Amino acid sequence: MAEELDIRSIWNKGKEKEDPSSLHINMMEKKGTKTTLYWIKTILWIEFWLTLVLGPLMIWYFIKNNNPMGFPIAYVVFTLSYMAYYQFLIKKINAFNYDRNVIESLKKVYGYLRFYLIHYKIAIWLSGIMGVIYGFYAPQNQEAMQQVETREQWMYMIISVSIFMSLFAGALHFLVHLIYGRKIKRLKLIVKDFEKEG
Amino acid sequence: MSEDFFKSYVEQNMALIMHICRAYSKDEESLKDLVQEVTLQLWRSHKSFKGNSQLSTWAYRVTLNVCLSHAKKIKRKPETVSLEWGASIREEDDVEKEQIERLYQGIRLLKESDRAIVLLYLEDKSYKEMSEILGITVSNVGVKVNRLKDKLKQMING
Repeated sequence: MAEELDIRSIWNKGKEKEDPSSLHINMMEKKGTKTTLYWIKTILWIEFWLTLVLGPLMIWYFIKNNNPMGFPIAYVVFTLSYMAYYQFLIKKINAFNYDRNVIESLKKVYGYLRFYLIHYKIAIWLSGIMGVIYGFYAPQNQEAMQQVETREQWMYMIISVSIFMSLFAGALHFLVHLIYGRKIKRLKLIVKDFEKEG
Repeated sequence: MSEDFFKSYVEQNMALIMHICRAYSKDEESLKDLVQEVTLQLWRSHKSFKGNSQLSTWAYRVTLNVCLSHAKKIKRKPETVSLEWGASIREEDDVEKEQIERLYQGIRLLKESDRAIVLLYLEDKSYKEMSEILGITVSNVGVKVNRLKDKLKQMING
């Protein structure tokens, strides 16, 4: 028991001798370490502003090309939904702090981001398919479409559009993996690490 | 970060913060970075502090969580700890200083989760509090504390 007290008393002596003035901590300096969550939040903010800028441009494009009114209206809903989703994720990341149970808190954030990543990958492919369908029916393409007459021409066009769409969606898929995938994987490793140590 | 926040939340707990951060730092520079990070995290989470616990307990919890996360982050990077890096404390009694340095050295050599247990023990936390903070059972805390105390004593005695 005496030895137990010794360790504590050594520790307390060390604490008494700490000299906070030696560190010169700058209270105005807000520079923290650039954590994985920090980078994910930064990318989400970039996506938010891109959506805000590109959304009206796309809506203007639909209206300018005499698309049915359903297109721009659907795009307004789409843009607003995504902006709300980005804000939701940013809020969830901001809510993470070291005051609570770090593992549980981190797990929740990881869950939200993992779902976001999966949804993103699915959305890319769905958007590609929808883009192809839109391409066939868009009023501005109707003139060109009328020139496709034979069965072979249709087959050739569908195959080439599908290949192009697959390559484009595949490239976007890879880009999303580069931007988010690795960071979210790192988050998963941190959560696993915490669980293992616990 | 306001001066008021710094005075009320950080300044009065600075010795405690430094003391814990020192156990997770490899040199004076990393100590400064870690303390700065803790200060920032305290600032970020101070609005959620509802006064349900003592300010020092809250500061302790945030500090320990930041230190543990920091340790996880640098875990995969090879790290060397200088043997001369101990408490950069006011120089007084040499024997006392050596004991303190050996204790720090011993704590730093433990794995992160064990380090957290030892720090909580040294801060006089009850087994129940420790089990709540660390998310392990009280009996598990008891077993680990006893094992770690023996290990530390061996390290301090050389």
